[in-house]
Amino acid sequence: MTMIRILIVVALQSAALAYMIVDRQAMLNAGRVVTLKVAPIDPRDIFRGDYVILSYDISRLEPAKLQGDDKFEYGQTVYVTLVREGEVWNAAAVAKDKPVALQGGVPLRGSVQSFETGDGGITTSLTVSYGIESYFVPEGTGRALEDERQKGGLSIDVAIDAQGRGAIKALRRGGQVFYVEGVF
Amino acid sequence: MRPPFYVRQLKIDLEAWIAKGLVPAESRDEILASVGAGRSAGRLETILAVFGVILVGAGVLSFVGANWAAMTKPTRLLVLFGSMWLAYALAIWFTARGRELIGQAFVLLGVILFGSNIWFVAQTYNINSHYPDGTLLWGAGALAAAFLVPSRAALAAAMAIGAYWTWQETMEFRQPIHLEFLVFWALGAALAGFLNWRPGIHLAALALIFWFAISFEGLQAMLGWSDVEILTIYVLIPLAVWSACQIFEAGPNGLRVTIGHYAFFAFLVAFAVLHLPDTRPEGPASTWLGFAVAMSAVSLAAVIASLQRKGSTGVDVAGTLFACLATIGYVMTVRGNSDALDIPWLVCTLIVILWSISRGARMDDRFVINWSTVAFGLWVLYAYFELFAGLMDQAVFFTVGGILLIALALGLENLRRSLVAGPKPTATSS
Repeated sequence: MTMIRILIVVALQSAALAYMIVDRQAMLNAGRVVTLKVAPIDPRDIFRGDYVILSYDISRLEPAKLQGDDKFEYGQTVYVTLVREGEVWNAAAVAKDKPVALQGGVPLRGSVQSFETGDGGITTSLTVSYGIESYFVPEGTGRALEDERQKGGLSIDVAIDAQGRGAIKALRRGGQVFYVEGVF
Repeated sequence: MRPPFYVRQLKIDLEAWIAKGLVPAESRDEILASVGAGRSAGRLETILAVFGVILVGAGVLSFVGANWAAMTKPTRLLVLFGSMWLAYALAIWFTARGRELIGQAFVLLGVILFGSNIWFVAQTYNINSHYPDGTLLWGAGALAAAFLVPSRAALAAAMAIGAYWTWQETMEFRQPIHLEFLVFWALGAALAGFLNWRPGIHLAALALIFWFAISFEGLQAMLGWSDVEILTIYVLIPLAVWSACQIFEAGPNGLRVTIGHYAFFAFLVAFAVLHLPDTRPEGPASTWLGFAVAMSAVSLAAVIASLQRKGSTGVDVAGTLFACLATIGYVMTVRGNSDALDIPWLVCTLIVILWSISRGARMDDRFVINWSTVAFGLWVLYAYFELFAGLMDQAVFFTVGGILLIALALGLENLRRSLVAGPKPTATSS
């Protein structure tokens, strides 16, 4: 009896871990892929352990220059509608409850990390996290990736599923893909 | 099963009672067996096994970390899943051979490896979402193991993981009040009661107090009260719980006693520090007064209801009423960051400590007596170092206070003697 009970525990916990992998793979296989330019950030804080911190042009928004809402709160879920501008995608709208529909636009879901307000409680700037802000790399390879990013030559492909969740699908150096995520 | 200190004392007492002929010698073993004496024989084995699995777990994690970069993704998955499955396989193997304690230790190792696997899988696949969700998943897995196996070690791990989860949500993500934790906590506490495990009940109580304490700012944001008004929540709710616990008889698992002890401890600490934070200059919020009066009424109703039980007396009604009125009166009176009421509050605190000692003595409750005594010691130190600038003031304060206490002790002793002696016999004419 105890054996069966422990086997049920093993099955449940293994299923939970397997779900994490399958769910991630499902996101990577999502039909919509956008390319985001990685922004250079303060090199003193950028490399911690074996992962690099990534920041994007769409990480910091000015709602007044975009379509959608203009008042936000900390921790709030937001939908940033991305539109293609040449090789990369940039923010065209930001909204709280549901994404702003734009011709050719792809909504990416994020959460408000910080914001600044002006007159009348209008949000003047907004820092948004999309869950794609860090990337684990093999030990010893992070520095080269950082150097590339600081030169402005790094961009990433982000797969976006139907709910607007984003996952890093590939890394590009000078526009050329040099790493693709996969199950194995 | 009774607590170890009770069993130890009972063994000593039994020998004395047998020597005096109060208890037949042949009843010794039966009496000791009835309180669970001798069932702790496997304790050392359990401790060593738990320490062992923690070391093995650390070893596995270090090995994985050391070879992480060199491993391909399939190798990583094989190591991660394989180590977890091996831990549970060993749990089954030892349990099947009658070594339940060692088996429990390997269940704990399985739970530890499940948690580390969540982070390693997240790292391997660059899953960078709301990371407290990973902690919640770990806690849920531990709770499932605790319930299904069933496993006390997994339950202890679940309560600790749950506390870490609510810390992450509250302190790192500034969630106002993390109410979701209460669902997790209720499941863990119910399981501790179901398993009839006293340390589990203690862990549940500690986890709840931890959540209660870190919710201070969240309560403030939600209610809009000042620091001192929020702190009264930590005074009045534990007082109400402690009073309510006196209504019921102690059950075999000590649940009522344990809850009462933690509530008393929280009440005493919060009452003592009530004068430290600031309040608003214009006085308390109207919503606060409604809360304070309602909670005071609950405390008083509970302590009056407990009068029927041996030990609860009118002194407890007076003590509860005093604690409530002092709390409300202080918040109604103090303004801004004034320290003008520090001395009166010090006197109020002394009265509450003395009442606690008195209540502990009448209820024969060592926990309450011991912590009230510690509180008295701290009170003396605080008064000595913080409140009086001159030695003469200190001398007067302590001397007068000491004389009053001695007078109170003599008065109580006289009262006790007169009650024990009973009414004097009336003279009868022949």
